[in-house]
Amino acid sequence: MKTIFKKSRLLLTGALGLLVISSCTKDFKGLNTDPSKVTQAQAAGDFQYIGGFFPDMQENVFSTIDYVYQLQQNLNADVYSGFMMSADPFGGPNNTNYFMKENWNTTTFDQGFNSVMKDWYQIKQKARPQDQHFVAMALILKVEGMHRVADVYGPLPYSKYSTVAFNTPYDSQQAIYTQFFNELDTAINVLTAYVKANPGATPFAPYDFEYGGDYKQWLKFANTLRLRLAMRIVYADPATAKLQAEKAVADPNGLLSAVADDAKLNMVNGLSYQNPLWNITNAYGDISMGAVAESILSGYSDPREPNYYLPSTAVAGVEKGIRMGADNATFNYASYSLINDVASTPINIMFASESYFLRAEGALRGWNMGGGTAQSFYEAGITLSFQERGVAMPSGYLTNATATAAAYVDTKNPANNIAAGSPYLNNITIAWNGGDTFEHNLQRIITQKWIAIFPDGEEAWSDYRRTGYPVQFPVVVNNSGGTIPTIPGIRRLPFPQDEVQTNPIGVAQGTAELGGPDNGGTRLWWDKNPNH
Amino acid sequence: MGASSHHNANSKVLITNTGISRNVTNAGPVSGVVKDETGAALPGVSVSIKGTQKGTQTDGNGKFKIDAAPGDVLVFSYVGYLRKEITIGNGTNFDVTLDPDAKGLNEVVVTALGITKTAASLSYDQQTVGGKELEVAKDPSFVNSLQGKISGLVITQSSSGAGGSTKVILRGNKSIFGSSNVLYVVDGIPLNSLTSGQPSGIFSGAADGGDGISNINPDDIESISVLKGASASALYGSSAANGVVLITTKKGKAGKTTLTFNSNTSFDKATLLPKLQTEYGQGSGGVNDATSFDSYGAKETGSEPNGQPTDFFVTGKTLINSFTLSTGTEKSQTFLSYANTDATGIEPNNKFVRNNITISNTSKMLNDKLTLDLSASYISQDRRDAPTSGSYFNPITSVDLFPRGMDFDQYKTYEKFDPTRNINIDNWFQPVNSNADYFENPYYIQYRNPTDQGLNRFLGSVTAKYDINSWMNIQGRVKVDAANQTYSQDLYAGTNTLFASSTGHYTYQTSGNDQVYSDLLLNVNKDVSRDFNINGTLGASIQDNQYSSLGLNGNLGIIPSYFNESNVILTAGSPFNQTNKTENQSQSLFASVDFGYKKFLFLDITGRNDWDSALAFTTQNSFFYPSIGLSDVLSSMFKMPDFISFSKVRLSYTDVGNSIPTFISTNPSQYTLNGSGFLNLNLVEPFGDLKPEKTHSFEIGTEWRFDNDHITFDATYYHTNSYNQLFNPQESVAGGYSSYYVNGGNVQNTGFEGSLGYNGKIVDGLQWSTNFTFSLNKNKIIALYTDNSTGVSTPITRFVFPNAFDSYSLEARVGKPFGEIYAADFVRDASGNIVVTGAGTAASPYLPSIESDPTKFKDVGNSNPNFLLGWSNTFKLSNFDLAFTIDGRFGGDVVDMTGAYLDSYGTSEASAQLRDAGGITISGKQISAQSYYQTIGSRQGALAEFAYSATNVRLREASFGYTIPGTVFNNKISSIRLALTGRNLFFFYLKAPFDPETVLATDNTLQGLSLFGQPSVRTIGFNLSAKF
Repeated sequence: MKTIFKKSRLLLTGALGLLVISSCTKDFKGLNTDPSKVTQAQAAGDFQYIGGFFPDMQENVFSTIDYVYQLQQNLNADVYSGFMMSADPFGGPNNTNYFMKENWNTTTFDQGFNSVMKDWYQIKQKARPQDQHFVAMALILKVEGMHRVADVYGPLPYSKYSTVAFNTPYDSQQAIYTQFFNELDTAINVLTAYVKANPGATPFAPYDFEYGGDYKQWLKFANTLRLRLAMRIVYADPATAKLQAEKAVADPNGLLSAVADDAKLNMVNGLSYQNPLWNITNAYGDISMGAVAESILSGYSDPREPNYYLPSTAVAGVEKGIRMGADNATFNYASYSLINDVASTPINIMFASESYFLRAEGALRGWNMGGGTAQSFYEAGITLSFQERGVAMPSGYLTNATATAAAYVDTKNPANNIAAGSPYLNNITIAWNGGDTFEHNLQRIITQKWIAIFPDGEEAWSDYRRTGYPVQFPVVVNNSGGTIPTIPGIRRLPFPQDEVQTNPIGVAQGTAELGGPDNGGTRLWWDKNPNH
Repeated sequence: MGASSHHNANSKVLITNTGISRNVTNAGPVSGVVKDETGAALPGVSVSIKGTQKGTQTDGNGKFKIDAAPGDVLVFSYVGYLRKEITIGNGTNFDVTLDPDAKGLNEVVVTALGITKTAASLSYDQQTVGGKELEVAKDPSFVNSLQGKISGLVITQSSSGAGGSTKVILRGNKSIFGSSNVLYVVDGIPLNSLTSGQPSGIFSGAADGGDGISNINPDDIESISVLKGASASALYGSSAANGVVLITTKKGKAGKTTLTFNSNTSFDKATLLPKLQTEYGQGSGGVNDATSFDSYGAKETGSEPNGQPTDFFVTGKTLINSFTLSTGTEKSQTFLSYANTDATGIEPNNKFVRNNITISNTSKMLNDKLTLDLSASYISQDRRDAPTSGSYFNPITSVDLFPRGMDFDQYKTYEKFDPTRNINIDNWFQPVNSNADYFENPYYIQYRNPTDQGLNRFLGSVTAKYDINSWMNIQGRVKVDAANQTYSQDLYAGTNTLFASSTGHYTYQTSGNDQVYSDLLLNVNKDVSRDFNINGTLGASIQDNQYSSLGLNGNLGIIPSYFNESNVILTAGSPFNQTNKTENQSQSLFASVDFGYKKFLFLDITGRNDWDSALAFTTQNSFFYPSIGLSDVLSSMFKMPDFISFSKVRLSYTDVGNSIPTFISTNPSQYTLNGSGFLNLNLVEPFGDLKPEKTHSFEIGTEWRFDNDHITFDATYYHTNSYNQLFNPQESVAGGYSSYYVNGGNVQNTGFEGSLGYNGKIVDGLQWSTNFTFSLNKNKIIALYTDNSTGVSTPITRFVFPNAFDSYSLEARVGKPFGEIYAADFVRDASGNIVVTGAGTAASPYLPSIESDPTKFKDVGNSNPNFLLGWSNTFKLSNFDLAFTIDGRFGGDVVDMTGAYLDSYGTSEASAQLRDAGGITISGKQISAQSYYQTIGSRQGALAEFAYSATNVRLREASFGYTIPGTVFNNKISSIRLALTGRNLFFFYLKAPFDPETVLATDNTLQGLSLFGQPSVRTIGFNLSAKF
């Protein structure tokens, strides 16, 4: 009897305990949901789980955060384009003198994958059948963001993104470009149909920093983007280049063509930021004018020069630029020109004037670029650029057939001077000359395009690699250990070290697609200009 | 069967008058003297009349007086002695001798969940320290007083002064991702650890925020037991895998009301300050320069200025005043305590104030079947300008690197008036907005960048125990621990604009950390037959932890130095940050059964199953872990020689599981808002495939007592393996996430620990109690995780702990022990010569080449000691007592990054010596002292050159006391003790230039590294305690 009594007591307590547990563990999922984060259910309100990803996507194509922007493009492409150079030695060899620092080669990649791709994937996953116009918008932004990544590294894990947990395969850059064009096809078809069916509807307005939700503007943007990408591959796949370029121009939605069409990251819809270049210049003192910019803009006496750069204190009242790879540890260039920006200047994404220079080049190549000649597009581009900058174009600018890039004087270290007559000076006049060689006119177009698209060093660097224009000064100190030729200069950034470690198979495959070693000297697929 | 608790026949009670009369006469006074077995008077012995509430205590001379009638039974009881009963006859005067309790057999110890067991039945190692031993030389955080007193306990203090946290490791580090710290349990209930943010790297600037245990009032502690292995603690679940420190608090005692008062005053002095040079002044390249940060100027002609940067350190003062009141009857006992701690540190303006109030009551009701225990504590604590580490907001950086030859006195006035702004700004030799981000006036940092940490904590518990019958009871407990913490930092206008706008910067954070614990236990203790005993517990518990915080952190608007939310710029950055209620709940069922055979063989089996909310969304909602142990009291089993009073062997095997952190398995993953307030996806892949962390542990030990328990010896060997640890490796962002979780690893600890003690009389009247502890731990990482993310299963052999930076890396590598320090060294060529770069010209001087690839850093040793020795002693002669503890840590290494900075800036003595020597020749090339030290020094230099052995032996603490007996005060006061005390008095052996036992962080990071931490302090003080 005694034993039974004891057992029943034990059982009783046990049962009590089990009761307590079974009734409470039901809440465990609730307890283990972080209340300081947004649940997917909460984000369903106002369809934020679809639309809510557009702001993050747009503000990361060009990062609004200074230190991210700095490594995303400023200390790489903005320097390689000739636009800028840093007076800060950053404690030793770095990307500005071709020592490719591991942690400086990552941000461009991560911005693309951690934001643009990730946001696109969410939008695509969550979109309902009636939300396909949102998916189309996400595709346009994805192509816009990812071509900037592909043009820096080459092959990328693009088409299989997020489809496998680990070891995502890389695509060749050619395959990526083919997909870009297809994606733009899809986006343009969907949006065109949507605009036709819903005239005046602006469902994208709450998430749009660029065009207030006006899909017609986005269609122009998409066409111009297609034109830009088509031109990029002209030396690698001329047939596709021509096909895509003519398709872009022929699309009835048109191209960006007026100041009002300029794509800028406007501070609307809750977006507020300080222009990252302004912060990098003013708060960090980390970026200054490039020597090539000084040479070209002062050579042309271009009134856009003081619009882009502040006067230096090294030579009072005059803009002074620093040569890429200059020994800024020994020589102090802090008194050279800084970038002329204010905190409230919105980030420029694409200028409408670019479309005219693209059409000028297409026309020069004999393509059907709509009604106009290479000269008319070229001159329209320059005229629009001055309007975009709010600077009056001096009379006689377009007909100036004498001014060329000026000799460069380094007041700190004369060894860096580039004397008149040097082959490194961008010797081209402004005035169109129909009788000039193809190369000269191409150089003319690209040089003016280069001035017009400032400060987008990434696009300018891509143009330089593709065409060799505007001619750049050789890097002063080349710390690449022979992997990057001083002339014609750096071709790409190495794959990020994180990616090499976490996706070695993908990177090995990407390197094979690259067709050369994974360093800054290997040319990308589209970098095939026989003249450079 | 050894000693028994009833003495009649052999009693040494001397009854002066014989003859027994049952005739009840009126009660009259009876008196006598109580002595111990050596004949010395025993004060404080409780004397009561059985069955009544009448009672008294013996005075300082062992005398007692009580009204009793013939036939009454007097009961004498005293801790450590066998209880004795005497029936009163006709006599009125009794001399009573109490026999010491043969500890090994009948000693009752408090084990897991507050369950009391006989020490003999324990199958694992448990060591106990009395509350008195913590009072030898008081420390505001009592855990620090355990140094050297318990074998195997590795105590490391944060270098953040009073109120800082303490890292306590038993039997080696086990968890790579989580903590290896012990669990604290107060009166059977786990204490909320309140782990705080830890310094995190070179800049840091955040002080260690203290921990939950440091708040406890040491005067409330009756005793501390340390359950060293996992086996002892299986019943506390996951958090106990690293061992448990069990704290038993004081309770009210039946009988006389006792009031104690204790006042402790101590003074702290900075020791082990860096050795600074006095030969060369401010400047560079041998040329003086009044704006330079370096001390590589010209050789000084004059004498050193009066004002030296080390003048910055002041004498710290700690005042601890406390009283306790104990009163009660047989039915109800009450305890009340209050303690006030008021400390100022060795850095100006550093202040620590704590008030502790505790009240507890134990009552018996329902025919003594129901025991109700109530306890409440309130703690209020304020910590201003707690010492920090790293280069931001740390006065030590400015003090250590202050250019030599300059007069420090001129900066004691830390502000100067700026007429253009009409405010005071930092008075410093460099402009406020210069790029040198390390430097501010150290006084300015203290007075104009002050931090404040506040804590209000309430702990309340209710325990009800009901005796169902003589061998079974049921007990329920609830404990609430609610802590509210605040943190603020005021950066005044005039602070370096790297940290604040021109009007200042304000940080304020408040957080709540609440824990509710409740359990229900059914306890059975029954002699099933003459030979068999069953002692078992069946229980269920729920523990619920909640945390929430809201903070504000931003630059000030238009009004300079007005620290209020309304003056914070709310439009820039994201000034607010909030954690909503983060809740975690674990529910458990557990059982423990001891089978005893003839009181010499014991089999102990436990099992526990945990359900944890952190496991939601995983495949496994709960996990089970068992333990089994065997204990055999040889001295009861066999006839042993007389000098062996006790002998036991024990053996146990345990599994302990450990859950995962909250929210890492949450699926579908959640969104966050990015810095601009836009939606962002979590980049960490939800972790759905869980294996809980497991520790398998085995131990075997033995305990011996000789010569009537005067000599004690115990030794234990253990072997533990911790598996399935959590890792958070990176994955390719192309997969959609940037990191994932994976289980893996095998960390092995094997070791040996023990103690040898003596307690007795050495010569007449001189009592000596000594305990020698030793422990040896060998740690080895057998495996880390296997990374499948690349498509190929790759066993990972190297794990870098978070916060490694520049030339310092703390790692776990397969085949090496946990916490191995790797540091940059020189680059050497094939024949071992240091590679020297440069052309040997002024523009391009020769420089030694430093390794920058962390995978090629040099292994400079381990951050943990291999071997510990402790030796504590107490001597008593008449009314004098002397106590001291010497302890030594052998093995282990540290890296002196502070020294690397000093060399680099040229303030160190070493830098002057090398200048005197004309520089250094490396690989045949002459390098100047400045070039050399600015290359190898600082944080990116050859830190391997700054590695030192951490071995040290020191006089940890000492006290010398004199007790004034109550008779001096006509017994109005029981006794007064006066003592001179000291802590951290001096080193017998030390190789490192700083105290290797103070660390930057008490988590798993930044171990074995000095980086401008507060210097070690030597404490000397006096103590007055009175008992009424």
